[in-house]
Order: sequence, then structure tokens, then C-alpha cells
Amino acid sequence: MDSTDRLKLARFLGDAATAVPGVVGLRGGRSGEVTEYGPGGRVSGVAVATAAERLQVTVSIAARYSPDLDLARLADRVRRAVQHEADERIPDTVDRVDVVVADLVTQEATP
Amino acid sequence: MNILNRVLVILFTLLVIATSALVLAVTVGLVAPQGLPLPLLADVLEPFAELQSQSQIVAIAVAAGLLVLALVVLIAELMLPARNKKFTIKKDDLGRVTVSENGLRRLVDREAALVPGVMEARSELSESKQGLRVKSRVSVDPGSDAAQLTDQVRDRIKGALERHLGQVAEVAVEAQIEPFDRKKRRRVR
Repeated sequence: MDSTDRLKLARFLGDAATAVPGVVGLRGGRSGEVTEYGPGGRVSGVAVATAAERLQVTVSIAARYSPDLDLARLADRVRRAVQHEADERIPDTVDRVDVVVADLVTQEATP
Repeated sequence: MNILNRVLVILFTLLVIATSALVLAVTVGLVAPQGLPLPLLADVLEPFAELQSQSQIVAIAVAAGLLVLALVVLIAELMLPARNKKFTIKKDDLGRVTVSENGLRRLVDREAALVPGVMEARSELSESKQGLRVKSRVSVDPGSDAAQLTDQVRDRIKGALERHLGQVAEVAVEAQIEPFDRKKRRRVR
């Protein structure tokens, strides 16, 4: 998979992650440590690494804070959504999906 | 910028530093090209040793400028803040779930602020062999019982962290009646 395909895949996976209720957005980190770069653009908050023909995805999210927030359950939903999206596009290629909760945003701070 | 990009930038700046330092040394006459260990390097640098007046000044200026620029870039790359520490929530065959130190600090501050009577909270996190340590300062309502609030805040933070992370070594809470300073105090003469 070349960098153009990885960038395209990262966009789809990022969209899948942000569609999960409780996810406010993606966060690439201060020095862009979780960012996919490619020709003509980049996707902050998603990184796709290749290892022996298999892919490992890292998704870095900002979660919406609420008193009953359960980070593990939210992260599981994100992992399932991202894995499902990846399986739809490139079946049996993504080995693992790591989720980083990079930030918590309160309701009043959410646009 | 990811790790690979940073490594490439660091390697490139080191190359520029070495090259411009060599050109500078040969141009000002500190090093003779014939004395260099690689014949190819000597051939490339030979013309710089023969530069005269105006051309020599231009070469020195360009090499010195590049040297300074590369040093600045190298120092900036090396001095970038350390990566935000992450705490593992769970790890299984599907992958790893972590929360950043920044995210966890916000969680702690939010949980503390939910205790009635707490106006604001500011926390620091650290990790020891025993696990996560939390030091939280809370600004409380002047009419409230600070000692009682401290216990409530500690229990609330501990409960939330155990729910999310599973283990917490220590939660220390300090309460103060005054609001946190938002601005630096001005010196009044």
C-alpha cells in the first residue's frame, strides 16, 4: 500500500472514528505524532503503519466529557467502528487498532 | 511531524553543519584540503581554498549563515517538548487503549469540580512504581467545610480513576479558599 492509498484510508478511518457518539474530533498531537502524511495532504489524528504486509492503525481522539463517561467503552466503540470501516475497504489487512484519548472536551466547549 | 521525519531532519541538519563547517574551515585557511582523509573531499573543497577577496567573503558568509541556520534547526528539533505521556486503559488482541496525560488531567479536574462547593481544580499527575499519583489543588467556596470537601474530592477522583484505569497509588488533595491566580501580580511602587 503506497502513501496515497494510506492517506485515503486514513481519511475514511478518521471519519468512522468521529462518527462514534462521544467523539468530538481527532487530535494529531502537538508535534503531529499521530498524523498520516501523503501526497496532497495529511490526516491529523490517524496514523497507518505497515508491518509485514499488515496494517496497524492508531486513532487519537478528543472525547466529550460527561460524569458517566466510560473511556474503555468509548474506545472499544471507536476500535470496532474503525476496524469495521477498514474491513469494508481492505478486508483482513488491519491487524490492530490502537486508540489514544488525547483530550477531553466539556459540553460547553463543544461547538 | 512524526518520528521518521524528525530523524530525517536531524540527519540533514547534521550533514549541513558538517559540510558548512568544512567549507568555512577550508575557506579561512584553518584546514588544508590536501590534509583531509578522503581524496574526493579534498577535490571538492580545493576551489574554496583558492578563493580570493570578494569571493572568499561571500563563501564565508554563506557557509557561516548555513551553519547557524542548521544549528538553530537542530537545537529546535532536539528541544521540542517530550511526547505527552500516556496511561494504558486496556490492552488486548484488538489493540491498545491509552489516555494522554493531558486528557487524564482534564478528567481529574472535571471530576473534582463536580463536588458541590468546589469552584475550580488544578491537578498534577505523576507515575511511580506503585502506580499513578495525583496531586490536586482545589479552590473551594468560602462558606464550605474545606476538610470535608477535601475528602469528598479525593474519593471522587479515586473512584473515577479506578473506574477508568483500574489502579491508583495515591490521590492527594489540597483545598484553598481563595480563587486561583489568573494573572501575574503587578508590582506596585
